[in-house]
Amino acid sequence: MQKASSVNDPALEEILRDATLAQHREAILWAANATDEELLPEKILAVRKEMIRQKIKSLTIEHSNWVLREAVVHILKDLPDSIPPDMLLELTRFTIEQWELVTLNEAAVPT
Amino acid sequence: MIENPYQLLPLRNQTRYMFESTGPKGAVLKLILFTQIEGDLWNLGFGDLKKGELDASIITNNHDVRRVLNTVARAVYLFTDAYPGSVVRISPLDGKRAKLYNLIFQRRHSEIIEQFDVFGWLGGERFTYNPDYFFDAFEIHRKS
Repeated sequence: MQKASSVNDPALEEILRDATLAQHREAILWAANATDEELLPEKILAVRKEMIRQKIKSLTIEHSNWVLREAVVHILKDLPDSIPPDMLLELTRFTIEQWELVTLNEAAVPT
Repeated sequence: MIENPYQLLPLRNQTRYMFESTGPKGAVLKLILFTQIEGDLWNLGFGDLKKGELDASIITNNHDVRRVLNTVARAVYLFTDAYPGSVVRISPLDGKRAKLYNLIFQRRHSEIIEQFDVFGWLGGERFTYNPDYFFDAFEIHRKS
């Protein structure tokens, strides 16, 4: 599911024609054209990191023998196509760190 | 039944909705944002819109909190109509909002579960929603 660009968005054009919203014109244009990550940068990153933590938690139980590459590919494969490169890089780094942390801790637990 | 919501202005294939809150603080433009986290999982974000900023932490105090929340609920219905099968995650930004969201789910539980399957996140684990518990975050899925 990919979001449409706001360029030539008929809904936006209609909103901008509404005289009662004229005072908000600049804010409306900014919000219509900004990416989600620009609108709510910290929250979206935090929610995606939490989702990765949860996936790692269940993966280390179900597939404790997976190597790092398998885990990273599996965890990140469902991210949306529209994700910005810097966030993708950040989440990839985070996934690797978390996977290594969890698997290292498990390896350290004496059986 | 959602009473008296503000008029919603949908954008970007119904993943964003704007509306204008009116009250003692004047006309405040608000944005409701559904962000795809992965697959069918979407995050619900919400805040006051100014040029170059979406302030999700502000408490506007425009004396219309009930109407604003009804408007957000209306947007959830419209979004889940447009994206059937989607799961909407609601994560409070702070303790005050966590209390408010838990209160809303508790008070309107019977009404919400008529239309949605509701789950609560607690300590990193997902449970079927139970109004006797205080949850960190929520997930709702429109019943087909």
